[in-house]
Amino acid sequence: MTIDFAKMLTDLEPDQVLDVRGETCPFPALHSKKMLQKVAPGTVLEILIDHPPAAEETVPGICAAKNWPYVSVKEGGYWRIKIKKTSK
Amino acid sequence: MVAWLANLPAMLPGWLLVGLFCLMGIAFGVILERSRFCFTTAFQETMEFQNPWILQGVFLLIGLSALIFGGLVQLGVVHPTLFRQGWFTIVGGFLFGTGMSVCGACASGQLFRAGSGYVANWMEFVGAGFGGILFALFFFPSVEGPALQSAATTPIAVYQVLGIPPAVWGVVSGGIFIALAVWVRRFLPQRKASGYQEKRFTFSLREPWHPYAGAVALTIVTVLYVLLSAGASMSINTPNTLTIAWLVNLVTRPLGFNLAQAPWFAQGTVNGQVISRLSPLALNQINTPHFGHHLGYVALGLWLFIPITILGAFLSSWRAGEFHIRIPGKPSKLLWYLFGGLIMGFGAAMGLGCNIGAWTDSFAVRLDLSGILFGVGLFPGVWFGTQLDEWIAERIWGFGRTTSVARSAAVRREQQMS
Repeated sequence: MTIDFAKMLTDLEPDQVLDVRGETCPFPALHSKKMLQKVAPGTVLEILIDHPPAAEETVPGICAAKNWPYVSVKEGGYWRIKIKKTSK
Repeated sequence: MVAWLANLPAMLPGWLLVGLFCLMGIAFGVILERSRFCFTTAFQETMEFQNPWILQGVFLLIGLSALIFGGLVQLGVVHPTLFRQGWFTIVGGFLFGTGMSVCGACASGQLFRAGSGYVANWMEFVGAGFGGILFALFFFPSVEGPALQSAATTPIAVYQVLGIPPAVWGVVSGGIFIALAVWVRRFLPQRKASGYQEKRFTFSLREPWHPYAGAVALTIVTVLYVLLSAGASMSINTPNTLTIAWLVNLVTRPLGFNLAQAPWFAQGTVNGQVISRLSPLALNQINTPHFGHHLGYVALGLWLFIPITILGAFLSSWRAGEFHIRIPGKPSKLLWYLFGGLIMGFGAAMGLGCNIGAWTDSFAVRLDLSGILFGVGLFPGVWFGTQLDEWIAERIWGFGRTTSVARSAAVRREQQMS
């Protein structure tokens, strides 16, 4: 049986929210990386981000490198990226 | 045909040249904005996040351009203006790399971000202009000016040193960079994520472009730019400096200090009249090879190309529904971008160019040695600037605007279970 992490994440409420809207490179990605390093495994972190390169490529890259499931939804002028930190 | 292309600036009407550079500026802004093309992002994200998603585009741009310009130089269509190289190339590259990494955007990257509404990058643009002015007033006359007159800094074409034709060198170096552009794709971590959708190879104004599409479009603009300027490398920092200097001069000239007469800005006299970078049309008095009496029109076009790029990026982001004014959470960040811009502008003036002028075009257009030396300073500068960003982010700013525990969902889940 495969677990649909995307569906699960969509329904989960975040434990923490990081709002980096208004920021430009390198800080949206840098703050996201530091925050993901800081929170405990098991945490669901939601990042609000309006910087396209970080939302489209860098944050998904950070998650993929660690195998952390994420869901990215664009809402108007910004993205809501919900990430489940499943490991250290 | 070869002679006509080599003398294109002299053949075309002067104001048409200016208009074409303005149109190319619009195109340049659109391409940078749609493909998110930024060299700092390319270097910084590869170093910091092991994610070369934009580096693949940078390599393709260099590879395609090297192939084309190797041939054009061989045919005699293009006579690139080679750059002098020396200590100033390395030190300038380091300062430029540091400044651009502090700001997270290089000379070209700041343009499309400024046009997309990022106030921080407006500060960077202003800072870069002041950095260039400080260099011109305090460093150029006594230090770099004499160094640029020295025989030791005579430009070196790599293919001449190797004793091979430029077309062959273009094929070799172009082939290496194109191979790199394909090879680095295997290191994109996001490609293995289930929810990730890679951008399409498209030129639609309504969606973001794949970095390869940006690279192809930028190669076309580079070819047109070089042909219309009879061999000039793309210049971003000098027009940035001129734009800010022109604005500053509106204040200082009535007070008795005319920047147009200052060192670096003033380039000599013709018929008793000072020829200044701030009044480029005066250059039309001079009759020069490839330009005839159109050197001033080309200089004006090269200048306008840059502020108009910001307009092009604005139109592009607005058309895509992505334009909005973005202000960092901590106002002190604006000063950080001003500081970074200052270092970047000073370094670019010292190193004779930015990522495009001093680095990319060295491999892609001029086929000279200066880009290798610029890179020797540039990459340590990128590393150092990124460390400064990390340091200040951790110690001064913390995280984003409203880092908060929205609600302790984990605790609530536990309570519900018990």
